[in-house]
This record gives sequence, structure tokens and C-alpha cells, in this order.
Amino acid sequence: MNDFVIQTNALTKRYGHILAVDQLSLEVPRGRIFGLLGPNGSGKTTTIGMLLGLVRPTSGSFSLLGSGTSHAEALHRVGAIVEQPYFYPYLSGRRNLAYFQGISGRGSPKELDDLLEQVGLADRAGDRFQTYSLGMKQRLGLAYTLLGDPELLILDEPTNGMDPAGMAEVRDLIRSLGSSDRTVLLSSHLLNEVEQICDSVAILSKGKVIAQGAVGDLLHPQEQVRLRTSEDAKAVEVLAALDWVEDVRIEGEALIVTAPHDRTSELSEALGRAGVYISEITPLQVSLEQYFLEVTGDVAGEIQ
Amino acid sequence: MIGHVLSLTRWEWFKLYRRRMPWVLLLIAIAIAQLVFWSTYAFVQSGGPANQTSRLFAATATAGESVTFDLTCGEIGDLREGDLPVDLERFSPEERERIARDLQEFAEDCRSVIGQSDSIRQSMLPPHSLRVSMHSTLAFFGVILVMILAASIPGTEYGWGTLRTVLIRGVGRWQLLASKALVTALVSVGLSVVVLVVVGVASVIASLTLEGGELVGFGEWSDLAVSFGKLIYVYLPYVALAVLMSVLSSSSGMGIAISVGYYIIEQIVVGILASFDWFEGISTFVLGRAASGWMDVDEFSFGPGGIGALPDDLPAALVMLAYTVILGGLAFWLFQRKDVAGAKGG
Repeated sequence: MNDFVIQTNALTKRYGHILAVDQLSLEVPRGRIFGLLGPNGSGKTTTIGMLLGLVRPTSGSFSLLGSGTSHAEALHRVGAIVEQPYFYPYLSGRRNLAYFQGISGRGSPKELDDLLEQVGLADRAGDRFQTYSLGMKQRLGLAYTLLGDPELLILDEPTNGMDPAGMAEVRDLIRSLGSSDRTVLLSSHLLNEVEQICDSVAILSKGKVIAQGAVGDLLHPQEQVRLRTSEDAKAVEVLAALDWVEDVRIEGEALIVTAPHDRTSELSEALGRAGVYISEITPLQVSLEQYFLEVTGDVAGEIQ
Repeated sequence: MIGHVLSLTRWEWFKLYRRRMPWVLLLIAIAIAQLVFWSTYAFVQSGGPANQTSRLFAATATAGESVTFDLTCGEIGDLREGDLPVDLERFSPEERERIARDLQEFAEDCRSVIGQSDSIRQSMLPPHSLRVSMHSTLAFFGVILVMILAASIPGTEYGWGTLRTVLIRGVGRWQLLASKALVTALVSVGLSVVVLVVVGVASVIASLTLEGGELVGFGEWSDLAVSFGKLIYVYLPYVALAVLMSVLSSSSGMGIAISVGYYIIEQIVVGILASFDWFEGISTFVLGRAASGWMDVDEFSFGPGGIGALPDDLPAALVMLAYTVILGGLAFWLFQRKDVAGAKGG
């Protein structure tokens, strides 16, 4: 069995003179919750559109759920929602699901009941889709993606338009969905969402992957400590002399020291020997947001 | 593969059945057919063309007296010698001879008009009423309604953004479009049948007050079946046109506007170009002319065409087949290749 459920090779999409996706090479490991993070216009939705056969790639290739199956067959094992859930406005939630179950040729009425229950729509299942709130539409969208118990879920901005309680609920649901063998590809422009849910992440900017890896690795590229001391200038001099300290700089009224967290006591000891007293010592964790700001530069402002 | 298309067709019906649009189209089709039928009935009951056609006679008597009188075909049919509404004795023999000639000529015209009137009356009785309805009302208004249906079925998928949701399920694009075309064809057949049944019922009711109804023999039924087959065949190129336009514009509104607009504008343009000799040579290849020729609209009232000689059955059938294949092929090719975006709202 292939370890990657999605592999893209130099996937490119051009709309006239606009390069939406540029030579994208991506590998999504099986059984993980994989985040696709990027600002609006970074090519996330176009990439997903190509994977789902909605958008024709200009060049490059990809495989979905291994190369042994046709794209259409692979799609039968995928549940996906792109941007926002679009359903027939005059049909009820239940009939919408019944239709999509029917055209796939699989499933049972009991599956519909279970899914509607799972996403908390059982009470409103008989109402027309056009009467649903955005949050309810998103829930129905989630139920739709789960039809046929797919191996791979592709969710594009699944909490879009939801209130905070709904967002938390859906995030829990996604986490639980990804806890089995199922793979989840979550596209979002919400950093904290990706940070909370995903195991791995690829950061897209201007149609390119600019960073990819485990969320933990991206969160801890550098370990830093913030110090408040009695004499900052002398402290910089002392710490800079230590060969395991990578960097020392003064930021406002504090020092930011780049050094392993497990050697914090040695920092304290060295400063104490030099007669510099520490009033505060705080290990810093680089957030995904900070990392994102570093790697994306000017487009980062669009990320929330 | 065919089984999959049929399964998709069943699910297309699942959706369509619950939409308001096909039922509204059905009601409009029934209303138009009934309006045409009962208007004709009222026309026939009021005496028809015989009462509408009249001629004014004028003569000058020998004393310089001027006399005019107006006759209708209905009146001249009842006239016997010496029953004229004026005393012709006062006129000169030449004047009387001229009036007699004019009256004879008018009577001949009236015989033709009365024959036409009989034909219209006959066309209201079953089973002729069904053929007339197919060749005139449905071949014109029916085509427009079928185009609206055909453009709406794929077009609304773009407007609501649901095409994306459908394709994500792994449904093949050509199978999906084929199922939409098939459900359009089936619903068009159903719509035509219902309209004809209602016309048939109206016709039976009308026959109670109109004389000359006939029992339907085997020959009549086979003629009706042929006419119905021809009607459905006429729908095909227009369905292909409407589907292509909605796929091309990714919108049901635009698809309907362009295809129905083309249908109507084509009739007007043909009317204008018919006065040019060069047009005669290419008119066979115009879709509307081919459809009119195929449906023999010149033999029936209310239909399009009627300008110049219409194409015969075979060339008309081939022209419509060519339109169906080319327009339908383009629609499938485009649907297969086109990127699918979210909802467009149109």
C-alpha cells in the first residue's frame, strides 16, 4: 500500500497570464490530518479543484489514493467539500444527501440517519436547504463528505461562517474523523485551526509550497528564551561568549536568547557568575503564525 | 456504462420532479394549446371565414341612381335568383351582366373559403385535432418550452454551484450530461403527451357541438404516431442548442435567452431574407426552415414558416440530424473540458 494518498508532481494551473498554481509538488501521508495553509489566492482551492477533477491542470500530474486506480474510481473513495457546500435549495437536507448517495450507487437510508445525527442535523433534516443557516449548511456539507465512509476527506475551509461554538464542534469532529485510518486534507486560511487540528502542514504562497512538514517541527524550528536582567548589555556580552548560544538580541526591555530550552539553567548560572541577576526567564515557542510571517513575508497579512 | 446513465437519469428525475419549473412549463403548454384550440372553436362557431369574407358591389342605375350592397359568403350561399338585396331591373342590361359576372366570381371564391372553413372545423375534431396541435402549437410553442427545460436542467447546476458537488462524487461528466439530455427528452415526450391528451379531451367536448367527427381507424393512429415521432425529432436539435448554450454560458438564464432568442430571431431573419433569390439556395440549411418542412407547417395553421417552398422530409431530417450531432457534440466536448467553479447564481 502506498504511504501517500495524494502525490502531486509539478502540478501547474494557469488562467491566462495568472499563474494560480506553480509547479506544486505535494505529498500527503496516509492516515494523517494534513493542513494546506495559505492566504486567499495562494492556490489552495485551485489545487483541490485539480485533485477532484473540477479544474484541468495546465501541466504536471498527480495521483489520488495511489496510482493503481482511475481518477473516477478514486473519487468514489473520497469525500470532499470545496469552498462552501452547494446543495439543491429546493430539496430538504435529507433528500440532498439521498440524491448524492444515490448517484454514487452506495449506501442505505440508515447511513443517512446516522450521518444527520452525527452532524447534529437530524431535527432539521426535512427542511429545505435554502432555509438553513450557514452553519447548518456546513454541517450538511460535512455529512455529505462522509457519505460512503471515504478513505480520504478533503475539506476546504470547513468552519467558514460558523460561530465559535460551531467551529469548536466541527474541529472536534474533524479530529475524531482523522483519528482512524482515514486521511484528512484540511485547507484553511485560519492558522489556529490548522495548528489545533493538523499533524502536518504545507504552506502555500502564490501557488507554491514554501514550507512543508510536521506541525510540531514547524512550530519549533528554533528554541528561544526571553530574559529580563539587571544589566542587559553585560548579559549580552556573557551569553554571546557561550558557544551553544546561537543568538542574543535586545528586544525592548528584554533579551531574546536563541538556545536549547534544556540548557536554560546553564544560562542562569553563567549570568549569575558574571554578577548579572535575572528577574524573569520565559521559554518561547515560535507560533505557526510567526513562522508563517517569516516564510511568506508580504502576503502574510491576509492570514488570520 | 448505459446502466450508469440510466441510474443517473432516474436521479435526475428525482430532482426534477420536485422542482416547480417543469410543472409550470407543463401548465403553460396546456394553456397555450387550449387557448389556440378554443380560439379556433370560437372562430368556427362564429361562422368562420365564410362570414368574415365579404365583397362590396356597386352599380349605377340608368337614371343616375347609385346603389351599393355588401354580401358575405354566408349570404351568397343562401341567395337564389332574384333574391339580391336590390332590384336589378332598374339597371341597364350591361350593368346587370357585370354584376352577375361579379357575383359568379365571388361565389367561386366563397366555395374555396367555405372549403377552408370546413377544413378548420374538421381540424377541431378528433383525431385531426391532435395532429394539428402537434404540427402547429407544439412544433412552435412546444419547441420554445422544451428549450427552456433543456437549458434549465444543466444551467441551474452552474447557478447553484451543485455541479461541483455532483462531480466530486466521481460521476463521469459525459454520463451526467447524457442523463440530463435523456431526462429532458423524456420529460419533453411526457409534456407533449399530456398536452395532446388535454387537447383530445377538449376536442371530444367540441365535437358534441361540431358536426363531422370521425371514428379513429388504424390509419389515423399510425398517422398520429408518425406525427408524434416527427415532433420529438424536431425537439432534438433545439435541445442540443439549448444545452450547448447553457454549458457555454454556465448559466440557465443565458442558455434560455440565447437559444430562445435565436429561435425567434431566426424566424424574423428568414422572413426578411426570403425576398432574396440567393437565399432560396441555402434556406434548406436553416434549422427553422428544416423543422418547418419536416413538420409540414404549411398544411397547418399557426406554425412558423410559410415563406417560400419548405424543404422536403429527407433533406429536412438530415439538416436537423446534422444540427443535433454538431451542437450536441460541442455541448459534450465543452462540458467535458470546462473547469467548474462555485455558484454563479444565474
